[in-house]
Amino acid sequence: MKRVICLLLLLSYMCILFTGCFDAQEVTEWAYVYSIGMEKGVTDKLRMTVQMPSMKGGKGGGSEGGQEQGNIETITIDCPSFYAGVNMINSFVSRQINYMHAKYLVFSESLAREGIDSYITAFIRGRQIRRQMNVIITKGSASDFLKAHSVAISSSLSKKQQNLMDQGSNTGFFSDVTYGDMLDEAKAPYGQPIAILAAINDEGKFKPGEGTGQLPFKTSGDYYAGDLARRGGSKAEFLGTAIFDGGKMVGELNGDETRILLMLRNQFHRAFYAVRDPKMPNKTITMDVRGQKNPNIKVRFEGDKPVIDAKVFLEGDVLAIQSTIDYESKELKPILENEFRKLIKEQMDKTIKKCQLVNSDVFRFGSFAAMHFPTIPEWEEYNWLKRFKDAQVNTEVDFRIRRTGTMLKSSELFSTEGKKGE
Amino acid sequence: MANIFQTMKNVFTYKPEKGQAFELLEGSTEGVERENTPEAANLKPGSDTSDKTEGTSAEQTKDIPAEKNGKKVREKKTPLTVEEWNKQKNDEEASPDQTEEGLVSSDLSANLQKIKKEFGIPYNTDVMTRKFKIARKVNAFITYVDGMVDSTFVSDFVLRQLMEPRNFEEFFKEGNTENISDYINENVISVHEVGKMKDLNTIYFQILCGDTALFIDGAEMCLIISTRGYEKRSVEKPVTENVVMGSQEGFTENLRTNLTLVRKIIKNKNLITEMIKVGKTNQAYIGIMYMNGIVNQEVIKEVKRRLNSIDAAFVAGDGMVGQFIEDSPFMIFPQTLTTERPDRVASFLMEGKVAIISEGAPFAEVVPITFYHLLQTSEDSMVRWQYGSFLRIIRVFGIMVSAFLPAMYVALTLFHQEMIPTELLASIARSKEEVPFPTIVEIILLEISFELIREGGIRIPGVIGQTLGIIGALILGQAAVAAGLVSPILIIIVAVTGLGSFAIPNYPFGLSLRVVRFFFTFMAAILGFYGISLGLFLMACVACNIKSFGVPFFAPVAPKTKSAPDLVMRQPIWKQEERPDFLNPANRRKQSSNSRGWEHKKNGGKKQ
Amino acid sequence: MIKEGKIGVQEAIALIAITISVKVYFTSPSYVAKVVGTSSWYMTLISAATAIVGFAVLCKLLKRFPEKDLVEAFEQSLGRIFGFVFSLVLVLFLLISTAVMIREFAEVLKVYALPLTPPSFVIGILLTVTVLVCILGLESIARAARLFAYYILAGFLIVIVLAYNNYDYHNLFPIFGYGLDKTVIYGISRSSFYGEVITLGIIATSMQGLSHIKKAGYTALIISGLTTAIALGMSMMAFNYATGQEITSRMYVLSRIIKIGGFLQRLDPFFLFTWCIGTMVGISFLLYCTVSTYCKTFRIRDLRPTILPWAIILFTVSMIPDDLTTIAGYVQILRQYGWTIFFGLPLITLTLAVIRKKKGTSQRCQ
Repeated sequence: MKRVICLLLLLSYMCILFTGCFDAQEVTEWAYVYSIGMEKGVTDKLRMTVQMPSMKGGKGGGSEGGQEQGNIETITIDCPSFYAGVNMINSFVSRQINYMHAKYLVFSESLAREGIDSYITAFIRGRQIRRQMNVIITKGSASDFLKAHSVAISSSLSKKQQNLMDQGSNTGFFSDVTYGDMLDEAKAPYGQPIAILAAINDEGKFKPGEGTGQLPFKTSGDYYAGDLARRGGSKAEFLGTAIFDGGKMVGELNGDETRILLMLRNQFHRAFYAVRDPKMPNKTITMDVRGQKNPNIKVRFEGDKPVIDAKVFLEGDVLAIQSTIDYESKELKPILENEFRKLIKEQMDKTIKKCQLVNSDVFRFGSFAAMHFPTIPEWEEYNWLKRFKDAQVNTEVDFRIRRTGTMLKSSELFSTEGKKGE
Repeated sequence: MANIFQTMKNVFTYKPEKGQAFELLEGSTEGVERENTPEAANLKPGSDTSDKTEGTSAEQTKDIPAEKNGKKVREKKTPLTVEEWNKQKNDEEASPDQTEEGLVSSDLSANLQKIKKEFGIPYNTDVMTRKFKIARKVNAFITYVDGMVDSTFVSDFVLRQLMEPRNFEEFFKEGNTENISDYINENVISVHEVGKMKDLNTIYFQILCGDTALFIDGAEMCLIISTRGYEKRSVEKPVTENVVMGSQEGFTENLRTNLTLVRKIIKNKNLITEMIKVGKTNQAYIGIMYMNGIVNQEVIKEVKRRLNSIDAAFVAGDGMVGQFIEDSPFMIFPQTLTTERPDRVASFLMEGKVAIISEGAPFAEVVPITFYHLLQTSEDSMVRWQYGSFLRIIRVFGIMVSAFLPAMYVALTLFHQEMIPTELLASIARSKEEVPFPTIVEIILLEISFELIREGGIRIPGVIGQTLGIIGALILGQAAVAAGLVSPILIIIVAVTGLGSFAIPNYPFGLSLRVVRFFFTFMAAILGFYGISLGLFLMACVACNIKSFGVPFFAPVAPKTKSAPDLVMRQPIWKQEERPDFLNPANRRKQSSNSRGWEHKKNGGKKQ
Repeated sequence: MIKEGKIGVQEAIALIAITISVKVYFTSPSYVAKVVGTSSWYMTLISAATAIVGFAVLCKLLKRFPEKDLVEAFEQSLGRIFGFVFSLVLVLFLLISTAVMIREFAEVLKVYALPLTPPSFVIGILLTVTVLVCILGLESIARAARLFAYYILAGFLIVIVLAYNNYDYHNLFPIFGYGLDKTVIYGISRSSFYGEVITLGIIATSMQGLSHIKKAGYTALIISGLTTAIALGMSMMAFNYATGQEITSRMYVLSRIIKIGGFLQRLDPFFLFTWCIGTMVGISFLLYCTVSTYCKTFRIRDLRPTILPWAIILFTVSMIPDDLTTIAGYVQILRQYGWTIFFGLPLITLTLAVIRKKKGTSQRCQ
């Protein structure tokens, strides 16, 4: 009898337990959003776009790969606020919207210029929103951008999103800045937030037919997103950086400037740089440039005015030398190195000036300045971000060519004119 | 109805803990006896108040020898029913042990009558009695159990020798005063083991064991001639504990063989084998083996105490013995280590543990054990320490997988989808689209069918068994996926879980994990990872509470005691200098700190 | 005398260190950041140092009353009535600490992992397990704590290490936070973060002598001080003093921002294990201490029947606060003024014992 009663008690307890699957939700009850887009609404305050894979197909096992292609659902809706929009979407999407796997948070440029602080500070409260989302500012409409951002090479959108961001560290053309970074920077006086600049490339810059190739030297990063003259591939393009003051976008940096930004932020990994051949100005030399060690940044104060000494350390390999000049030799190597240093220093000064002009310390020089203040009240009192524009910045670049690729020496070409070169 | 409320009240009312029951769970005989004696004394003066108490206590005293109990009952005039029941019970229990006149009489026919009566000879066809004349003169008969003796042996070395008059020429010479049984023992029977016995009960038991009893007219002695020759299995490879490297011998069903197999490995005079008879009716011998001088005497005492107290009619094999003597029968994890391998037993003995080897099953129980022993195989110490450690890590991984993988899957897909890589999530979601069941139903369905395949695979006769298990699982899985019953990823989960549980070297431990797995799966379905951690914490506390003969289950780690570096990571064998501290062995040191003597000693590492 | 079993030094260290340092997974780090900003990581070291002093007082007290636990020491030093009052205060305080910890845990869990599950369910099932575990006894809890100690520590360190690419040491500057004076004062008053070390006094009879208690207490304080400092420092480095104040559970968010390549990201649910099991160890231990102190105060010989009622009281108390903000407020009050109870009571007792020349005698010597 006692046993029976114990069993009954246990069973009733189990019953209570099993009512408890409050949070258990099957995978198929969710719709996983890959990207969230936001822009100014037409019929309401906000136009929100969510991009998610449709879970069609896949009867039974086996045939997973390749089904995602073309099965991306992009939904755009005008709504008063983000979470209101989520509910509105659920009036025609049969599954709950889930942002846990969202990778991109896209804002339109016009919205960003007006200020996205109210949005970025608001979302983070949701537990599904992750700090690891990449924040992207797109020129034009965010919904159009997301529609254009389809799968081209890989079959899986999520993989593409991931891989594309990894490319940032390979090219230095855009940073893989995340929502969390942006939030941290916007909320503390150490520096100013940045975001990835992106745009739809409508292939308008591309001129068909073959040209002459006789154009003045232009670096590969001298473009903003959407400006590349190209054809084919995904229409969405990531290039450059949007710079902010607080929550308001105040300017944009092109590819080269972004590289400088990354160097000074110590986030620069690797990029191919084309420099003019110092001896033959119509030819270029390409180098694989990597960050060597942390940049040496020192902030001091002359009176109230900050002085910043920034030294960047780079190293690189020679990838291609169009001329046959023997830059591998001991004598000529420093010439090439100096040429590159000059280029970077030039770009660096230009970039810093540009940011000082809009008074946005996106380089986080402030974090170095903070070391001179003992307490937070004093530091906040000083108001670094306001004084950044008055700062005097001395830059220096250190560059070493470590390797010259598979060649130790460039030999001359022979033609009917004899030995070329000298 | 009132009854129900009463019981409910009982469930909730506090009852103080009974003595030391928590510490020492064993047979009730001794405890009851001690409790009873003062009670009986109390009862004498005012008897009328305590009828009820007496009834219950008398019921408990079924083990007390008959005369004592009977006297007590008579004195106190308790209701007849109890008395009768007790008496009956006592007679029943006592019958194999006691007869009125327990000695061999000098009258041969009386002996024969007794034997016939005891063994129920006309009906019991197994026991043979053969009458004959020793040297054509003296009446005698032998008794044996047919099949238990080697019949050619009996004919050649017992009967032929006895019947041959020439063997007795000296005996029948004038002036010989020698007793006939002594004479036969010393001169006639050429058998290695002959005993003289008087006590009939012992004689019966010897006969049952396969010996031949020789009764001679006029002798008050019976000769027990060792003629055991029953069928037994030869020593074969162990079935449940296969290893690649290491000994390939396994225990058999025969106790003597098993003891020999261990003794073969440890050739030391300190290896003691004590025999204890358990099983009131089937009278099985149990051998307790230990190394004198290493083992903690307290453990030995406790083992013997528990074994002696077993009060059961039928005990066959050490699996049953283990259940009678384990500390906490309600805990899910095994508290004695069952092994089939003499070399493992030997190595445990050398660590100061006690082995209990019994007749009837090719296994030995080793106590006390800890959780970490359940992870180890004899192979670990045979291979070099790097490989040994690797194998153990794999095994730990197997344990994790077999206990947690389904639970993890349930928790991940129901609660923590963010942890699944996005691509995998998409493919899970897509394959799940067509499946009508919730994940938990799916997984239970598949788990149960997999368990069925395992269980069925053992029963399927012969060679097809093993192949059918695997192929059945494959085909079943495929078909289930094709029919849209389960999602394909689940097949992988369940299959890997199964693999994991096969990696566990200890079969009972594997069984326990197979049960625990369902518990975790339920917890995961209720609360995700939080549920699993709740379950894990509870399980760990419960397991920490287990003691195996006084040794906590997670002994060298929790509580922390000194031990050789041989838990999960197996360090080099020459580093394992000490026996585990939790056993409190009489001799802590297993080997000297420089057991690789050749490295240090000047004389080339030779022993002095 | 209650039969509590014996626990070793390592088990005691594991128990105390886990109980103390698991609190970094809750709302405390953010509140600390609110008050002292960037200097929180060494503020907690100051707290730990203060707690070590407090613990030294306890040790002195226990030395004066050898082979006695805290409750008996209260009684012997202050007499029946005041000793009783002191013990009762301790019981109430332990109860409130446990209740607040449970509720805080449930709320944070609800925020991050189980948004739809009602807190009563989370707490109910947690207390069910806790009651079962407490019935098994202190030995079991201590052993389980020892068993999980390394895994909890490993889980913690893995989070710290894997989040490496989010660290920026500049976020630790300005070095003095909101002022050095503020840091030191707050650090001292916040020593109650380590107040659980006082439970060693309650379970003193289970330990083998004062030297073991000392060893366990100091080691546990040092370990938990270091882990807390690491947790506060690293999570401050990963965020900054501004966002660091905002986040409900900074350590948990730290595990959320782990991202190494495409695969090693979004791992946070996995670290729920570390966090949940740590909390369970802590709550079981605190509940056990509450019940044990209560039973010792009222001289109840078997504490097991009182566990279930205590758990129900605990459940009720923990359900009283309305929302997370209220609880976080209570937590702050507890952390800021808890030292008066945790370290103040032994200090008063010791002082009075010295003044009144009360001294316990060792039974072993007799």
